[in-house]
Amino acid sequence: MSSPYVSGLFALGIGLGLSGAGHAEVVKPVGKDGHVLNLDFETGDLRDWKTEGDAFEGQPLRGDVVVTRRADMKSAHQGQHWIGGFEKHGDGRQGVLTSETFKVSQPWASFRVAGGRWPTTRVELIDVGTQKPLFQVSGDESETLRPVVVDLTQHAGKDVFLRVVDQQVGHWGHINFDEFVFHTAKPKLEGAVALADIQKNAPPPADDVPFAGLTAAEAAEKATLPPGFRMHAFAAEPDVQQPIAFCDDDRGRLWVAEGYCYPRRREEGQGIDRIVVLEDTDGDHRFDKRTVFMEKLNLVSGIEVGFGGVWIGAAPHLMFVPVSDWDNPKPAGEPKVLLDGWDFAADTHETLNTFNWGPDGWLYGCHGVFCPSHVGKPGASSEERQWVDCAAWRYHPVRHTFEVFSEGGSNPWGIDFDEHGQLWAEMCVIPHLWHLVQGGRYERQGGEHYAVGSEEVRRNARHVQKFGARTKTLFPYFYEDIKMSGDHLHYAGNKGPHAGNGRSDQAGGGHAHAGMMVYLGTSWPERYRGNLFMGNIHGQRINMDVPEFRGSGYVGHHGPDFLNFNDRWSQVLNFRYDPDGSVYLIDWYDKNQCHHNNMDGHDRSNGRVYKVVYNGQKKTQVDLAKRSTTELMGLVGSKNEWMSRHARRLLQERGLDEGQRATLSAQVMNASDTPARLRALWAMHLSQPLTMRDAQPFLGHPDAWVRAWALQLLGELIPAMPAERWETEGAAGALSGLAGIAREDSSPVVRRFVASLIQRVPAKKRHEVLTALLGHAEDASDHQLPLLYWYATEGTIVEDPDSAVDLLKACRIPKVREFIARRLAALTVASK
Amino acid sequence: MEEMQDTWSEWIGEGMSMKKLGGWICAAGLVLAGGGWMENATAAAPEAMARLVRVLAETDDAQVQLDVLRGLSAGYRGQQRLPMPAGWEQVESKLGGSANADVRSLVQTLSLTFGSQGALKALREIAADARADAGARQNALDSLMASKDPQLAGLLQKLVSDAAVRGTVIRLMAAFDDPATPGLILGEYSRLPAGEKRDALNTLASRVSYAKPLLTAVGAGKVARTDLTAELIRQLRNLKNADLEKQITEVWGVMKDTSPDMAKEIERYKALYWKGGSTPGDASRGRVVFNQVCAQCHHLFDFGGAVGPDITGANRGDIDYLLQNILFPNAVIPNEYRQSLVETKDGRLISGIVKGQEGGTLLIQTANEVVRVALADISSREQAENSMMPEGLISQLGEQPMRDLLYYLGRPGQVPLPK
Repeated sequence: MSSPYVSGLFALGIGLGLSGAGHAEVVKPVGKDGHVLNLDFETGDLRDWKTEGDAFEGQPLRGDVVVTRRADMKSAHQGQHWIGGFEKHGDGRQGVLTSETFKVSQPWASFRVAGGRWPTTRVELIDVGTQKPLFQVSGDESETLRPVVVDLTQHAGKDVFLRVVDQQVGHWGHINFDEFVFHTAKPKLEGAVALADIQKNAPPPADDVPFAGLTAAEAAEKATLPPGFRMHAFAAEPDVQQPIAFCDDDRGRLWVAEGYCYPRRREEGQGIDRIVVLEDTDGDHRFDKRTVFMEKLNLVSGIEVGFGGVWIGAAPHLMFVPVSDWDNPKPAGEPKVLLDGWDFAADTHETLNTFNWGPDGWLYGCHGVFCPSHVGKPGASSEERQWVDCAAWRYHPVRHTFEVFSEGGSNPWGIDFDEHGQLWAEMCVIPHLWHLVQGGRYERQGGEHYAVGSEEVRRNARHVQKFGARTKTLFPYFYEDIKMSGDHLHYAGNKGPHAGNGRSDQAGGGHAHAGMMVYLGTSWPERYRGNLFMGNIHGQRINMDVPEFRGSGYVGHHGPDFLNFNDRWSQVLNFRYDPDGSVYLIDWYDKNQCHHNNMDGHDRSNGRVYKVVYNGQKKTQVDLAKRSTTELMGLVGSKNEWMSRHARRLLQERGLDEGQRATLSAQVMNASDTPARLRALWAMHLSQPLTMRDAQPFLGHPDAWVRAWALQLLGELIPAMPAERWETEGAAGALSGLAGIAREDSSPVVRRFVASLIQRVPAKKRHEVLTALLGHAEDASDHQLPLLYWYATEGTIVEDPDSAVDLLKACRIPKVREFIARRLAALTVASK
Repeated sequence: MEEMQDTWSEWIGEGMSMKKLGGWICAAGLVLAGGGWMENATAAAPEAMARLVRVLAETDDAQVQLDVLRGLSAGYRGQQRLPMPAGWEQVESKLGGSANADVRSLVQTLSLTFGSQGALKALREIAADARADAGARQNALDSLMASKDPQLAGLLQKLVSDAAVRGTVIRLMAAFDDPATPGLILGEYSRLPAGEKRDALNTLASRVSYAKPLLTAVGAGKVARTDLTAELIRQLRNLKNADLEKQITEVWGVMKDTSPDMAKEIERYKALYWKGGSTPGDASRGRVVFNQVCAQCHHLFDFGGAVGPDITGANRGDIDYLLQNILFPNAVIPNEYRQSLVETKDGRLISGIVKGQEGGTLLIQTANEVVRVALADISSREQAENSMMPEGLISQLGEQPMRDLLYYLGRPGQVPLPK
């Protein structure tokens, strides 16, 4: 064996003879001429080392000079002499010690290190061949040297040299070092740490953010954007302050809610929040007309425009304010409270937020985990209300019904819909990226899952938790919730989300997000279309994740960050793209990045609206509300989602006749791509819910997304069905038809929609459809299908225990089989 | 398709006006509010379970066996002495000898749940066997507890001085009201390592009849007064007993219930803190104080419990923030950290955060363990208005330890323990 360890083996042989198996002998590195190198400084000088800079003047030290200076630490050096970077000249100097070259002659090494934690205060072993470090180790903000043990088995025979680096001034800007030696085997040194453990547990380096407290104009210049993009300061303090939420209207004007009351609702009548309308009439990407629409609002956190007025979230209320004179908008009357019971007291920053019109014509919004809300129409009894803590919810602007769309999460503050009408949300603390599915139950930051819908509430009436006067009906039988849609996190390190604050530059900036935009404008390059944009609070940037179809849903990959403000104070809360495909974003802008209870803890004087434009895209003036219905019909299929989305909402307001619906129906059948088909389908449904006759051709469409969406739209009114209708032959026939789809459809996407739909059918009536779904063994490994199937199955077991055994026998998905047995066992205990 | 079209259109209604739909919605709310269904469902459950057991006895598909057994095991977790479902004997004899170790083990555990005497006896023997592996003995004790073995209380008393299982034994003793228990535990107290002292104190604070001898022992100097932490005092006070209250005042002093002015109190502590000079504390000594006072519940840097939030990423550099949260833990507290008081029918009081339900049991995270209590054994459960974190945590510290702690809490990273 021509191993470079020959001398080591020899030493090991002696070691075996003297002190038993496994004992590691110390071998001192030798220089090219064979002399033992002064890597422990016991010569009392720096021979065998080359110095640069002045940090190491007067080194090495002799004896423990630390303990005399501070009682809580000691030098813990070896022998007499050592290097202590602070002791002679403090933290102000810089320099590097470079040793002579030597050969890696043994499989293990150790040395002692202390001092600053910075990447710029470190010890490193450089490979002469590559001139790259084999390892780098910093101190741990202590003067006490600790032994580090290094495995060099992969580097046998290499020529190497040591560098002791101090390129840092200020706080712990120094490095301490002593005694580098080899070992013939893995040594056992008191208090030693393994290099591998240091590297595994090392906090990521602190972020270096060059700016803080810039003006809006400076900030627009200092931000880093991809080539071809430019950011304009559309509006800033004092014209806009505390922008907590915003939306755009049919003319592309911005409606910005200014949240001065945040974080606490004020006494009744003492509100100081405002809504301002900002308009750019001359197309220079800056607002030039500002209308104060409304003042004296209290704790505003959500806003959307449509149906002749403004929809405002201001806990405890969801309100509607009609608008008069759209040229110079003002309220046409008092706010009408549509829903109340939204909590604002238990926590400060989790109230109803980020409103957005869904493809199905509902107003969608988010809500956070630590605000216990019991939501209903004013005057509704406790039984008539729906519990909401973390959720995506929806409210129908015409039928005035309210639903929890999906349950679980942390504090979502941003939702948008992709071209397939799929809802994307971001979250904080828990992983950030979520494709939320109707009827889904998602990982919660805390607290227990709750019952959704009157039937589930009734079944779980024994499982309640009191929040003051409010009663939360729990849903303990979820058994497992759906996890993140992303394949990555935006924070670094292995110590959890908060420990990554200020240290996550490499990973994406940090755990806290706000705002969500699925970019579906037309002026940015095609590579951005469909990507998911989120504001990253601690990372003062905009993240971009890239979705990819997988199974019945998606997986989200980490794309390059889109924009970095390079300014610590920047905090993007939400986005909207305009008719030209340019993107507006609101920036809360505050030195304080974290929520708290202190009323005076936020800078009230500032806030920004920026506009991100690609390739000099011009601003065009539009007013879709002035277009004829025929013109709007022509925009429904537009690839420019702003046009399509606003056109669809206007058509929803105006209503469609049979001829127009027939035109749209033909588009669903004949349009050349899925998004165009879906846009026509959604539009057709908006003014009048899709009927079975409408849907018949769609359910046989070759495009799975058309089949899937036809099902979701057909299911929309199911909760409103009178119970006796379910006993008719007609209903039985319809459920058999649905079971046929569940059994035969080859698309997991369609089966996902069936699973969401069947949750809306009374539990006693689900048996046939569930039997069909549970027979799909190929769904066992899908991200969400087994759990969606289970959420639908649970109620059926309770309502009809005998059927559980038949479902279990039909089930080819192990997880659901286990849950059926588990639920039945729990049921027998309840009956004990 | 033709047939389907008619039926669905009957549901949804062609061209139905929005108004009429609104009417439906109201009607649906009324219809769905009917009652009486739960009784029907649970009455049918045992028969369904018998069918399921038959499926289990008949199938030779190992995956189905495992799925069903895992489901049953999870569904019955925390349950004790359940009636044996019809047909279980066949499952026990067929699958108890399965080649699959998981199947065998699940069948054995379930058999125990169903009161199989042979299984109980085997567990008692393992628990008492001083030569057996300590982990196996502790698991056996936990299993006996879970199956409410009537002989367990006596077994625990015999094992209280057995160092290998003593911690588990002392924790489990909290579940039984026995006049001999306090004397046995207090007799061992001086010999216990720190972790087991904490177990002992928690058990002794679990019910009034144990708490009185504990406080007497403190009064007599047999248990150090400083061993009574703020959260332990609060647990004792949660027992709401006038005699105990008197004893607490005697041995520990008065604990303020009324909140002093927050701003003034923070200023007072800040002044005390800065009296320590420009570097008011010593981080290494502070780490020791943290380990004594905070680490049981809070994780910082690389160490600590998970009862309360991880404070590594908190705004620790800000002394006002630190003091506000330490002095006034009830000022801003998410519901998730509110304390619940759960009392059992035999007089045990458990203070902690309710983590959820599993089977017929409630899981409660106390300051030192997760306690599982059958819902049927609970006599009352209330959510307190205060945080799990007690007030007065640092009022019992001396001035310098207080400074050391605050100084340590403000450090950007971990510091070494004092040598």
